[in-house]
Order: sequence, then C-alpha cells, then structure tokens
Amino acid sequence: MFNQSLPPEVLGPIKVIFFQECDELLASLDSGLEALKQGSADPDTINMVFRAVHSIKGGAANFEYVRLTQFSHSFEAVLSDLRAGRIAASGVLLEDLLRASDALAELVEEARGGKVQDLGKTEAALKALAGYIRKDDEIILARAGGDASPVPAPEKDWKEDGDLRSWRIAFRPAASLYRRANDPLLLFRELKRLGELRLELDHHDLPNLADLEPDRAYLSWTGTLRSLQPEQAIWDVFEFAGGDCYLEIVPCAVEAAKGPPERLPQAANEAVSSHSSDPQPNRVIRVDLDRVDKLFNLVEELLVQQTTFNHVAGKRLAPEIQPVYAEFHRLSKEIQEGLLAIRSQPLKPVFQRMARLVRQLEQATGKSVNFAATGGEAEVDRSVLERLAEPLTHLIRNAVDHGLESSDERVQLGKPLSGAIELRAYQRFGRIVLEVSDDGKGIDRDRVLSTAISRGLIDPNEHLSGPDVDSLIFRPGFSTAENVSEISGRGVGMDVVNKCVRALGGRISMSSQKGAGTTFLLSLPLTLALLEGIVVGSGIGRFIVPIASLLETLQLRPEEIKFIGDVKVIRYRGQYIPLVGLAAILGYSQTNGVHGSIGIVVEDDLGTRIAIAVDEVFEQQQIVVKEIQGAYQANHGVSAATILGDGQVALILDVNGIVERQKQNAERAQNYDEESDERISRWSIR
Amino acid sequence: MNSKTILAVDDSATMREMIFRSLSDIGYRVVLAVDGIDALDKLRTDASPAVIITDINMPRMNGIALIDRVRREGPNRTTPILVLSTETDASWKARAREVGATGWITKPFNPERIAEAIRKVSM
Repeated sequence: MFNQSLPPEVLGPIKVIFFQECDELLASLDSGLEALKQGSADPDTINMVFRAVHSIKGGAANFEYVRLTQFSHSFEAVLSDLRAGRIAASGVLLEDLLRASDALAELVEEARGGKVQDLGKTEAALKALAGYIRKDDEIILARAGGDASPVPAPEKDWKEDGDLRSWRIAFRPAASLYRRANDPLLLFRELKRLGELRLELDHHDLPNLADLEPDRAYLSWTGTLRSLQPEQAIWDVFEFAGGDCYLEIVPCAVEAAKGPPERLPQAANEAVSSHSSDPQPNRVIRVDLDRVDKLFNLVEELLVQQTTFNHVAGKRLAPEIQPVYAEFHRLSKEIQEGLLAIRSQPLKPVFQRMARLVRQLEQATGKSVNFAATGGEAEVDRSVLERLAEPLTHLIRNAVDHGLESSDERVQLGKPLSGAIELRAYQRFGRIVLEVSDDGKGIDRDRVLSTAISRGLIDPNEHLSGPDVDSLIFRPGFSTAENVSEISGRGVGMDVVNKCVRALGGRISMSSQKGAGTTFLLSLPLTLALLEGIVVGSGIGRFIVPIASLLETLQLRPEEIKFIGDVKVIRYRGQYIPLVGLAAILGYSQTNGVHGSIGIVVEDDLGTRIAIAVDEVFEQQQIVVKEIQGAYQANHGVSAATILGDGQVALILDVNGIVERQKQNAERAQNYDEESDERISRWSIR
Repeated sequence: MNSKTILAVDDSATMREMIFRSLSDIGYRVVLAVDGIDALDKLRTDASPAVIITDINMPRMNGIALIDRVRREGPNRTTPILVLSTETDASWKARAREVGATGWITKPFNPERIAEAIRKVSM
C-alpha cells in the first residue's frame, strides 16, 4: 500500500493535493448531476460524473480511507451501469444520486479530519444505491459505520520458502506477444532473478531468410529453473505475456531437465496458456531427506565393505571374478555419486541472500557498493550449504563496514565512488572455494601486530612474517571491542568466522594489501558426509586421521625424541613439535606416556603442528561420518565416528581439539617449569 | 541510477503526484500528461520514454484510444505500455489488450508494484 511505502513528509503534501482535487471533483459531480436532472443525456456529462467518483475512490483507496473508498465504490457501480445504459436516468435515480453526492462530500470531510459524520445519512444513501446495483456484480456492499475491513490490495510479498525445486519451462511466444511490446529476453531476465535458469533456444521453425515473415513468431525456448520461490512467482513473471504464448511450468526431476528439449506445439494465432493446474505429477517425487540420508549411509557402508573385501580377498579372487568385482565396485561408486547429487544444491540462494545483505548494509552505512557474485551455480551438499551463510555474512558485513572506506574518503583517494565487493565460488581439488574480496582499506599489519601484542597474543620480540601477522586476526581474543559498530555488531570477530569454517572442515586464509583491499579465501569440503582419512591403530583402538590435516607419517626413533620441560618433542622440518600419545590426549590414561613407533604429523587450522604417536597405519579410505551424540561430543580430540569394514566403530580425530588439549597440557607443564616457558611458547604459536 | 524516462498519463492530480514522487524517488525521470491528447503532445516533443503508464478513464482522449494511436503510428510503436487503472470491468482490460497494451496493473497505487512492472517490461 501507498501509505506503507512513502514517509509521512512525502505523503502529507500528496494528501493536500488529493483533498483539493476532491473539492473540484465534488463540484463537477454536482454540476453534472444537476445537468442530468435537467434532462441532459450528453455522454460526456455522464462520463464526467462517473470519473469524479472514480477518481475519489482511487485516491481514497491509496490513503486507506476505508469508509470513503467503500462508499465511492458502490456509488461508482451505479454510475457505471448508468453510463453503460443498463439503468435509465430517471428522476428518482438522480435524486438518489444527488443525495449520495452529499453523503460523499461529508465522507470526504471526515477523511480530511473533520467531524465524524451522521451515519444515518450515509446509510440511507448507501441503501438507496444498493437498490440499483445488480446482484451478480461482485461488489462489496459497504457498511458505513461498523468495523470496516481494509480495502483488499494486491499485496505480493512471498517469501522464499526454503524449498529448492526445479521447474521445466517451455515457452513459445505468439506474434501477439511481440506486438504488445513484450520481450522474451526481459522475461528470462525476470526468471533469472528467481533462481538458476538454463534455457535452450529452439529455432527449428525459423525459415530461410527469403521466407521469413517479420511479424510472425518462430522461436521457442525450453529449459529449467531451479528456484526457492513458490510456483506462483514463476507464473507471475509471465503475467503480462500470459495470453500471448504457449507456456508450461512443470515441476521436474533434475534428470529430466538434462534430456533433450522437446518440440513445442505451434503457438497458433491465438496462443493457449496451459496452466499449472495440470502438472505432470510423475516428473518429480518428494522424498523425505532422512530417507535419502539413510540410503546414502547404506551405500557408504557398502563401499567400505567392498574396500575391506578387496583388501582381504582381492588378490585371491579367481581371474574370471575380478572384472565382475570391479564392475560391482564401479556401480556402487556411481550410486554414491548419484545420491550425493540428489543432496547437493547450488550456492545461488546463499549468494542472493548476500546480495540482499549488501543492499541492507548500503542503506545502514550510507556507503555505495558494487556487489558481484559469480559461480552461484556451483553445487555443494545440503549439509555444507546450510552452514555457509553464517561465515559469509560475517565476512561481507566486515567488508562493507570496516573494509570499504566512506565515499568521501574514496574520492579523496582517487578510488571509484562505489566500493567493490566480489563473491566468487569455484571448485578445486574436490573442494569448494569461496572468495570474498573488497577494494577497500586493506589490513594494516602494524595495527594488527600492535593489537596482538597489547592483547598478549604474541610476544613483542616475536618475529612474524607478513602472512603470519595476517593470520593473527583469526585468533580468539583478537577482535577489538572498540570498533564494534551497529553493523558488524556484538563484537563478531574473525575468530568466529574461523570457527564456523573449521566446524565445516574448511580452512580460511586472507591476503590483503594496505590501501588496495582484502581477499578472504574459504576452502570447504563439498560434503560433510564423507571424509578422506587414514585409519591408524594404537594400543587403545583404531582412529581416523582426516587427510585434510595430515602432513606426513614418520618412523619414530627413540634417540630423536627430546624433551622441552616435560613435553616430548621431535624435530620436524627444522622445528621442534610436540609428540603426544593418543591415550593421554583422549584421557584414557593420566600418564603422559607416548607409545608407538610411527609419528603422524598433523596441522591444525592455525598451522600449529603436532605429532601423534601410533602403532600402525592402515590404508587411506573414504569414510562415512557419523555424528556422535552425548558424552563423547564434549571430548576434545574426537569429532565424530565411523564404522569400519569389519563392523567396528572408529573415532575420527579432531586435530584442532587435540592441539588445543596439548596446549593446555603444556601450560600445566609450564607452571612446573618456568625455564621452558620461552621455548614452549615458540612452538605453540607456530 | 536509472535515467530512464517514464511517461505517466492520468487525469487525477493526486495520482500524477503519487506516480511522480515514487518513480522519481527511485531514479526515473517522469514526464506527466493529463490525458491522451496531452500524452501524444508529450510524445511528439519529449524524448522517447522507456515505458508509458496510462490510466484508462480520462477526458478528451482515454487510455484505450491513446494506446491505439501509439501502436498505430510514430516511433513509440514498440514502447511498452502499462495500464494503471481502478477499472475492474474485464471488458476494459480486454479492449486494452486488443489495442496493444503490454500489461495491466490494478490500483490502488502501490509504488513497489509499479516499479516491479516497469522493470519487467523494460531494458
């Protein structure tokens, strides 16, 4: 409604115009009715009378003067019949119309802020009007007085219902569509706003140039739209083209969309619009996600079993069975991929949310931002998609709020007035990479360093490389409270972003150039349901080490194990790194004993390295991640579990948690041994 | 920002003011006309609009006649024309379509609805 869309200071002057206009309209209404009463049958006069009431009604509806709107609506209905010759301009009618005109004038006064009108007069006038209104007309008979219901307005405010669906769209414009100045390209542009659109042009009917008739329509399009919007939103795109085209909007399965486009029926002279009331129900089935997940888990376990089978019996298989087994394995892999594809969804909806966020931030900050997002068609597993918005929101808020300079500053710096923020997604090495970059201030390393020192995060004498300084911003406790603004709010620091990304099994890095801008790089797995890991064995069972955090496996020689204070360390690439036993880390034993002849060197998301001593290293494999509920979740050092080929459960090590624990243990040791302080802090930073 | 011109035709001063305010606010240049005759004058003398928005019921020359004239002659034959009207009579809508109206928007006036319709029909 108009009232809700314009501020009062704008609305006020328009209301003044409206009431001035009402006075003029009421005057011409009266003079017109008088002329008709005197016997005039001039159509222009009838039209003028009609228009006067019509205009009052229009304005009143805009300002939501309910009683005035309803009354003028009934009044207009009678005048409309009079104009169309459906009722005769009898003396009685004109008397009634003049009385209605008086009542209308009083309702205008009431709307203007005058006294509340004598309802009896309006009621009587309305009753008289109602007598002339044909019953079959869909007219709201206004009850002057009572609880007037608001004027129905075509409010269109659908929300994304969060349900991503695919639609098959077939569209063949008739020539009339072009004659009415509708343009297929504009319709496609509208469709693209709703989601991810893939269209193919069918120009099969296009004749040779010599035979081409310029006012005929030859082209048609078929394709798919993947959208979170309700079906009505898609039909609404074609609201102005509806009668001038053949149109099909049918829910479809993803696979169906990949098939070759079907030929469309010829849109004849008068085009037909096939409406969605007759969808093809067999094209799409809705499946409870839990069922897909269950199936997914079963297939994963099947694959694990096959891996084990191959490990145990592969070499002993008779030659004629080997190819059969290989085919069996390949098909299982394909089923797994197919199921992953069903669960995966394009990033676009998240990108659209970010675009909206930027628009809101522009308003809140008064900064002007050119936002560009590319790669939204890249697909990730639903589990990742759901948790992507949070870190991206933080990054974009920070970019607008802290990254970009104000317009004035930018002009002084010779930069374009509008700041640029770019969101890019692409797949690399089986992971999804997201880049958020801005062309703003960049990060001031000196300030980062001094902040980190003042917060006790690093030693003032520490020598850090540029990238090491940058990575300080991801450290908990770095975020400065003084720059908490309304936008970034509540002290959201980069450590929170880092935490979100880490929880997704991802990594975040940053590169920045002072004065030129900052780029954040997020690398995330395509799915959280699968994990590449190696199985390791220790005295207390088997565990999974995620490949993403694994650097190397080494043979441990007793003579190479040294002590810094109470902490065992080994030398790795010129650095001493702590060596820990799984039992101690996971709380199986109180002793700090290290057993095992193999060292697994792992690195947490901040680059801190640590070696874990184990007895055995088995093969690398893809494992199905099972969440653990209850007590284990609180256990630092374990993130989830999986079921191995032999049916045994193995815990998946959480390297970030292990490093965290090791630091705590080291701090405890530090209390006993002040001397080792300096050296311990060396490796706990890097 | 947009610098597209919109020609808005309405005999009601309130309506013209509303259209003017809400479309200028979002960056359009708005040319106003009070009826069909005035609109044809404006089309002759002023820059070609990206979209024409017209009321139906107007004195001198109504919206239907205006659309018919624009579609038959002159350089604006392919300009999108949106009807903005409180007319609920389906026959008016049919006549508007017949003479070549691109789209139909029903009043009450909703600035967002109009902005959306303009976006839908223009580059």
